[in-house]
Amino acid sequence: MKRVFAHFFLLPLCLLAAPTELWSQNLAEEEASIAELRRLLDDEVTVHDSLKRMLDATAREIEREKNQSSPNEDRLRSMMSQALQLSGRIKHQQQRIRQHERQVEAATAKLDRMYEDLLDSLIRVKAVGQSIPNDAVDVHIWVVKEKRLYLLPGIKRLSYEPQKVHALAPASITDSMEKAIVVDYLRRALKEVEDRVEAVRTSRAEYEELVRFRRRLSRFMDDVREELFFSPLYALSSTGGVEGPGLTAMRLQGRSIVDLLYQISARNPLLDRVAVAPDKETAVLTIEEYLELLKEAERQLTNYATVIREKLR
Amino acid sequence: MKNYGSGSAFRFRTHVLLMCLTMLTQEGRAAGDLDVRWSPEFGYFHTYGTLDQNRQHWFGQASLVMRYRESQVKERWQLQFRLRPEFYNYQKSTAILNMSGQAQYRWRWNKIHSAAELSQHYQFYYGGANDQFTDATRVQYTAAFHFRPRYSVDVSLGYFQRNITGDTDHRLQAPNGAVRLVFYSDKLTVSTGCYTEYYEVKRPDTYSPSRRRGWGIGPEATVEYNGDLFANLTYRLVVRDADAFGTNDNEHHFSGIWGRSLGNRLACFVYADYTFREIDRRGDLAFYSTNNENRIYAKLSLEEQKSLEWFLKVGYLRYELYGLDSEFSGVNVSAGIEWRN
Repeated sequence: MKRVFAHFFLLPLCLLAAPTELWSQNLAEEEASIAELRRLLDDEVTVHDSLKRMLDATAREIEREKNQSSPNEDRLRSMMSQALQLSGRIKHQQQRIRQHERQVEAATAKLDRMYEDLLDSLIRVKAVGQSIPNDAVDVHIWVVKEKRLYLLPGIKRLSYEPQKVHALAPASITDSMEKAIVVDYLRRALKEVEDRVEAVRTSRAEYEELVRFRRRLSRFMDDVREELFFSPLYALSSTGGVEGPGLTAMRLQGRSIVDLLYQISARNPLLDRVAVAPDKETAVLTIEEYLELLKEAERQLTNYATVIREKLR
Repeated sequence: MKNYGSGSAFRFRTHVLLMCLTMLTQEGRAAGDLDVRWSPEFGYFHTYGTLDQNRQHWFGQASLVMRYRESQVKERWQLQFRLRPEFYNYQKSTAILNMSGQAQYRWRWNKIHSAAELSQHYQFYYGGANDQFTDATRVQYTAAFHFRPRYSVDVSLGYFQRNITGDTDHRLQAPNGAVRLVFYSDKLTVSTGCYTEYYEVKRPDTYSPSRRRGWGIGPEATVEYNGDLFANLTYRLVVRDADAFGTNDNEHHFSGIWGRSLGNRLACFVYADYTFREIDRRGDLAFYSTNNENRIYAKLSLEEQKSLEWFLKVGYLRYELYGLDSEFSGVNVSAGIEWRN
């Protein structure tokens, strides 16, 4: 019996030891490593994009040659062989990108755990420490929180100023050079907004399926619990009906979407509720609320893309 | 039929239920969500146990669930009412009516997440000469203190009371408590802890009225994965003290739930429950077990529309009847439909 008890209480001790080990690692080194991994990933993506452009150009050339009255067979054969080679290189490049993405993902998860432990320590220092001014600790806490927020793969903020886009009116510009620059700026902005819409849409589809499944699971578990009611087993439920802190990634992504919506000056009661909650870092969003937020983001960003398209017309 | 739960306790619980239902129909309704579920099902079961061997019977049941919920940023409350009539052509026609009401309130204060729950269940069993009435009351409070990210200490305090009135009367009271250390990650939850209870069993209807009281204690562990599929495995050991039984009585309980979405509309769920007792207690009139049932069942459900679902259930059940020194077991297959608002 003693051995059984010993095994039960050894398990949580092992779990407690794991973050302590992470804590001792060098944070700066990890940050540098992740930056390097991301740079390598960007390089690979750039190579992939240029190969893709070359393949598109070759395909257009082949099409043009085919449409001529007397196509040059040798030239066609050579171009097709070139296209085949490019296609092979693109496939290889895609594999390299996936490999790098996996590395970035693993490093990100590790760094996120380190930030979490650091935050926890800083909060404890704030609660106990007399020698360190609280303001200094607060600043440090916010810096780490911000780093953590932008660490996770999520819906990133827009890289340009939406207010500037609102102010631009290419139709009223007479100078051709200036007009070309403004149109190019707007096209880039539109591309970025469309990318965000796509990212939000993909995330929404994933979470919609998850929510549907969880609702069905919850009904199934509710029925199982009901059948157990006449037994004291019902009371032995390990989580006791109290919810855990929720999905960390979802919570942080939720915050990043709120930031993005504020950036384009969107307004919604749900945004205020998330933004003004006094304990933003704890579980504020339920999975249903997160889904609602994604729907709102998709709607607002689509409207915003329409505004840019109107300016370009 | 016997006098069903006469006395002020019965009236008090009925009053609490009525209060809950009154709240359901009053203010605040516009701000909350009212969910209604209605699911009839029909099927066959084949028996194996010593009580009724190798016979086939049909059965039908229908479940109505009404739930009202209201959520704020840091608090949530919920009222739930359930009604489930069941019909069996077992030996002679048998009918069972299950009714229950539940009120639950959850709130957060700093790092403490709490839940308080009051629930009341009734079961009316009509089987000719073997009519029986069971009522059970449960009050429970659970607090989870999130002392650091990903970790919490959960403390539960509860009181459980169950009265069975019929050919054999049985009264059980069991105040209980549990302490657990829980580790969370995005998809994995691991919990270990200890459960304890003080129980009192009374059999007032026997020739020599028997009564037994004692302590039950034991460790428990749960592992839960909640990602693209759901899986929960739990093990508990409950040791009842030697003073009550003459010797230590160890009860091992295993349970598992598994669920997976199979595409957009199809989902599959499996529930299994197994209790292993080191000493056979059948025939012991004042015996009390945390679980008399061993069972496994699988449910396959197909979502036709957002508010309509078809399902198929296959299950095996083995039920130990302690007072009768017997057991009842069988397999069953049923199909049904569920409507939701």
